[in-house]
Amino acid sequence: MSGLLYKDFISVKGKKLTITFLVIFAVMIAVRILMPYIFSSLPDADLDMGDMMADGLYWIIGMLLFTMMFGTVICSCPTKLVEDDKTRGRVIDYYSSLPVTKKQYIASHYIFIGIMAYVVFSFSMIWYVIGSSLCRTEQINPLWNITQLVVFSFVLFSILCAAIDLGAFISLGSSKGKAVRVAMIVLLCTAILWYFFFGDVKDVSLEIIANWIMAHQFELLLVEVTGPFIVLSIYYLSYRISCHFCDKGAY
Amino acid sequence: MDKKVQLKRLIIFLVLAFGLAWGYEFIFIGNGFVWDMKDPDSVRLISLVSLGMLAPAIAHVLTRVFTKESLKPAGKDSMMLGINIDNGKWKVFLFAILIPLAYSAAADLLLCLTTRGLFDTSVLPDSGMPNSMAILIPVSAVSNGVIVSFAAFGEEFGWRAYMMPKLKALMGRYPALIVGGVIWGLWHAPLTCIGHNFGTDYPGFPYVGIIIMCLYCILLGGILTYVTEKTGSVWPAAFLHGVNNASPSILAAFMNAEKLSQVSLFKQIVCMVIPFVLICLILELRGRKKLM
Repeated sequence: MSGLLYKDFISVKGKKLTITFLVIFAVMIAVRILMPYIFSSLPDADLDMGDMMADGLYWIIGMLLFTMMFGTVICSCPTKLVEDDKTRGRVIDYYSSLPVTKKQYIASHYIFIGIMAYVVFSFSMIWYVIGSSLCRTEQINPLWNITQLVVFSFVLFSILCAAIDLGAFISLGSSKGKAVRVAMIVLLCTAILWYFFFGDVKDVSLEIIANWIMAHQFELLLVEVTGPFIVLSIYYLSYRISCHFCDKGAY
Repeated sequence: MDKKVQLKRLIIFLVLAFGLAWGYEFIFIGNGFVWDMKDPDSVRLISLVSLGMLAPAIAHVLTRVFTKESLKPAGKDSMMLGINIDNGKWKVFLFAILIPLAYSAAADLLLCLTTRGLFDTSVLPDSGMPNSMAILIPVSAVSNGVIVSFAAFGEEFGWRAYMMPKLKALMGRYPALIVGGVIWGLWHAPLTCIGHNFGTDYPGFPYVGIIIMCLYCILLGGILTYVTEKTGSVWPAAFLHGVNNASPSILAAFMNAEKLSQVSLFKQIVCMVIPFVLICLILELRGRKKLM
């Protein structure tokens, strides 16, 4: 299995990716340490909650970009891991000569993406811990809620996308898999555009989001608690479906 | 392998694990940091101080690099990073994730049964939450403990994947479990001295706290070593440690804080130790039965 995981690491250009990941992480930490506040010249007493939230805004944006960037990398993994329709026959010939079963081969892709998601999430949390220690005391609760929600949602969303994508690529082939991916992106963009055109965006601010989160703590706790179980169940289901199609000769 | 070489490697690892963690923690302690959950300034820094948990993992990798030991992720004499759930090993993973729920609930149950007025169903409603919310505590602990297990992994990757195999090779299983637990407990000493785990208001502070921490680490270490040995992987131990740190007991939500503050530390420790000892005994007997 470690051999298969190493193969996947090479397929996604793992060394380059790791170096990029660590450099971005280090730069973000350095920026956070060197510039803890935008309003650093003002004493706490002179700031209202809105200023304090704006103070933490770039920290949240940084966190968002970091998680989004590597979330996208996770989502793009299936195309790099699963062979395209043209080379698939040759790859199958190759791995059937190895002491691994088809299921192990498929499982290695799922495990690899799972490990990537775990690493991205862990680094996001380290970034969060370092970032939050430099917050003003009053900022902690609202910022903690927003950043936790952001990181959690993006990592779970990436795993969900990877589950659908990987399942489609393995079960339906790469051309149909790409069609599924395009459909997902179109759906997501439509939802975002719909919100910007028809949703109530003029009053959206970090403070309002923080207040909304504080008012809906119970619902969010439910999502936080059940979300990972649901997403991981879908991920496992995707693996089982891929194995089922693989038994029928799709892979 | 030569015991001298093993000992040398273990000493290098311990110097690094203690040096890195204590050095990091003393920066905060020197600047007046105390472990006080009621002080907002302390709360802001607690997570940052807790990153010291990554020190044993860094020490593990550095020791292997310095002593030119194998860096292979899985297999014999490896870093124990592999995950193998075949041959029923998934049950050990499940056990590792769920057992903290059992022993923490058992400890709290003992405490509630022996302390009149401690169990109070009005605690949650008074804080504005329905009693049914309590069911989310263990579920949330499992979910957070597994997903946010990187800090626990930091410790386990050092103690279980490096220190314990070396100690077992040097002195045998049982002495290794005790010595390993004492080392692990002493490693926590700077934090125990600023109020981590037991606070600062107890007789014999901080020496009694350090001794209790060593005892706790011996018992918890026994279970953590068991799951590591059973799977040949450090991951179940990391998950167990993660869930353990997430305080998974339902009963804790129903404890009257005022009454709890009146319960002696000795009584709390006895209630905590009994379930641990029982679990360790059961695991040990099961292990012996299988050998026979």
